[in-house]
Amino acid sequence: MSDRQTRKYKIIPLALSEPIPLEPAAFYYKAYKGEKETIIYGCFALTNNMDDEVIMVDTGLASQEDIEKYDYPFRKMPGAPSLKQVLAEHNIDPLKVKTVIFTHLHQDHCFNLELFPNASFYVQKVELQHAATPTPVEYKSYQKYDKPGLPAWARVFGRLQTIEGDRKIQEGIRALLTPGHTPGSQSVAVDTEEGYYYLTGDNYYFPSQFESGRMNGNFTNLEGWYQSRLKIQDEMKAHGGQILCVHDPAAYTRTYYG
Amino acid sequence: MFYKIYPIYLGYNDVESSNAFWRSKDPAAYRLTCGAFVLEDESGEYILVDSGIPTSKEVQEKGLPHRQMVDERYYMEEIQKLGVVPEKVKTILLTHLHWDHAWNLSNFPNASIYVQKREMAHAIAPLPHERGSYSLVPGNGGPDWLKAILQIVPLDGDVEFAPGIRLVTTPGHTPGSMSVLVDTKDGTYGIISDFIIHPRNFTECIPVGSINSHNDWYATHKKLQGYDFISLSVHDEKVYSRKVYG
Repeated sequence: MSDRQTRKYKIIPLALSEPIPLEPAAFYYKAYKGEKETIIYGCFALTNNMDDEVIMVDTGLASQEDIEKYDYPFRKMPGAPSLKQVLAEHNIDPLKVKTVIFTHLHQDHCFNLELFPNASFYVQKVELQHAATPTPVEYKSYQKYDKPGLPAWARVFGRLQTIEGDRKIQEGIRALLTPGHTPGSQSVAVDTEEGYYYLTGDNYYFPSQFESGRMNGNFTNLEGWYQSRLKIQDEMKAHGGQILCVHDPAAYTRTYYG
Repeated sequence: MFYKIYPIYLGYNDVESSNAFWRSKDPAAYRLTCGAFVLEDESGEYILVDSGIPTSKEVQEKGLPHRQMVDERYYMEEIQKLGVVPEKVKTILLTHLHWDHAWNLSNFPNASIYVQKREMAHAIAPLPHERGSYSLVPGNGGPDWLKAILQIVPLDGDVEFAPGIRLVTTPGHTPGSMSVLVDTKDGTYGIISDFIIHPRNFTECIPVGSINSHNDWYATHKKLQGYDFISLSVHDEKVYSRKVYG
């Protein structure tokens, strides 16, 4: 009986802002009244127990420097660190990143790609198609605005790998098509020493939203949002585990998971 | 054939502006009226476009999750004041099956009720957060329109319904919404419920707050630009400043 070690990952949450309060309608559909909730911007880096490869799940938003320099229509957050800084602080070498998985192509999830010259970028085909043809309410999110340069996701067009549906990316990492927030949103199931974690992108801003099933305020596919939730629930029945919400400040209170 | 269009006012609620305009930050409330339209043809026959709302009494008695109107009027009273005889109504056109557009149908035993098949499919099995809008709540016995299901003639797409009346699918607010374009001697009016809550939704391309699909809404916006009409919406209080159109 071989005792070959199984590849297990550690998930490192990388905070790219302080927690920020936003009106509830941003999170919950038709939440006209209510307390502001706080969210954070960030992404996840995955290291493993076998080699020095790093996988990124999303790559965050543009640096404050670039937001200033190119006048991107994005919130100004003085003092917010860039992904480059945060990776350095965590001793993560971006040149060792061979795989980047985009949960979706909104502008707070797919910037900073010039840091990863050795990476292939995985995105759902439906998401890429949608990013190229968004509806007016989504123009800003997909960077369909009149500024020089391409949207961040288009700058690595040659290295974009489109996947369709659920797909095993490599041992211990599966991409699951979970539309809702956007038509091609995907979740990443990651096998860790602590069990599975599901990086569900922006379908849920907080785990409580996943629990309650309270409709997201930012959506393209309403039907899909409910189906996707059932899908993740089914995954949890089969494999156990919990979700990690990239915009949930509480997700960043641990240095790593797994 | 030219029609006359009578707006039927049923009351109002003051609601957050983002109900009418997607993510609007306007602090002023929006006066959301409820109502319906009655069309009269050249021979004096009436066609109903939408069939009103439940009375506040019914809402309370049945525990319905529906708004009660301020300045409430009763749909059956109002249309009969106009001269509509419920037993004589042969045609009812339903723009969609939300509670505030498709109530009171059991009062019209001789009417054929026209609604998009797509809308029926959706109303029977709406998404969890829409169940209230379609009156699917425990203890209610189901939505009102289900009682009249044997009178329903399901439609599938755009229809040249009659000389002077065109039906056009306009999804966005709900998947099976349709609009009614009516020719009058003053031109064509469009009852574009609830794709348009207020004319600005169309003229400024601002989606309404209650959206089933942004994709659909914008596609519908493009589609409607191919038609010439003046919009009439039951949810726009200004519509009731005239007693009749055409």
